[in-house]
Amino acid sequence: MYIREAHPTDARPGMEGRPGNPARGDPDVKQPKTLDERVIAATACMQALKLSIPILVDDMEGTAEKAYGGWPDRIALIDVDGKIAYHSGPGPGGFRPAMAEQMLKALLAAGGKWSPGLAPPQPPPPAAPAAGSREAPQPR
Amino acid sequence: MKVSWTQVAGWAAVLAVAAVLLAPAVPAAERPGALPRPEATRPEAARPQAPRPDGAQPDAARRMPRMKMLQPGQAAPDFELPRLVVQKDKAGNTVGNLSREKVRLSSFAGKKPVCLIFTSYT
Repeated sequence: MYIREAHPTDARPGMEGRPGNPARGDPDVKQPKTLDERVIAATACMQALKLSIPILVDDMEGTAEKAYGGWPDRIALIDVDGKIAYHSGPGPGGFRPAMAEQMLKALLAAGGKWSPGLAPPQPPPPAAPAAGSREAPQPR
Repeated sequence: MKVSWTQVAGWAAVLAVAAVLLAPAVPAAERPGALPRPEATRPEAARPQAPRPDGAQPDAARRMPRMKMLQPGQAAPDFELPRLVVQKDKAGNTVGNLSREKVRLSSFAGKKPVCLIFTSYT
């Protein structure tokens, strides 16, 4: 779902995310002020990222974004009965597609129905540092 | 009358103690040079603020990130939104439009689960 921009080039300091910097490779996108501008930005996004999944465009009031706390980005899984099965933390820290994928697989394995036992998977422990790396314990 | 240095030092110490005791109580974190405290421990974040006459949000409300959390098992908020349809026009330019028919989340109930990814270009 396309919602309002997180890092537009015209972001107001303190009110939104940091402004995007095209010189650093960020997309040169201003915050859409109208629905037409939002459609143009969503289309550019769909093309640049080669997205093939269905894309919904939130309204200018941010109805869905506000209902789900979706800004700046977030993932939600809805079970077959219309219940929340998984609601990630807000991005960027809480935006974890791998965890959402595991939860979706668990949900599908349960016939699409959420149950209290269908808990979100715990994040995997950090991988052990490779031998010889700086983080690996050095033999004495 | 002779005043010794010992007496001067004694009076200076008394005045210094009085200055400390009579100074307005300023929390350590609000003194100049103090490190900012976490958002949750700031007094303005902990106390509800009265609405402003001009309708603007209180400072704490503007600074607080949107941390809305939906609990598993609760009913998913329903919405109805158009889908983005991207096509080529006669000149070969890519054009995006909104679908006439809208997608309602609740229409998937009883059929299949739905994965919602909220995001933007930036």
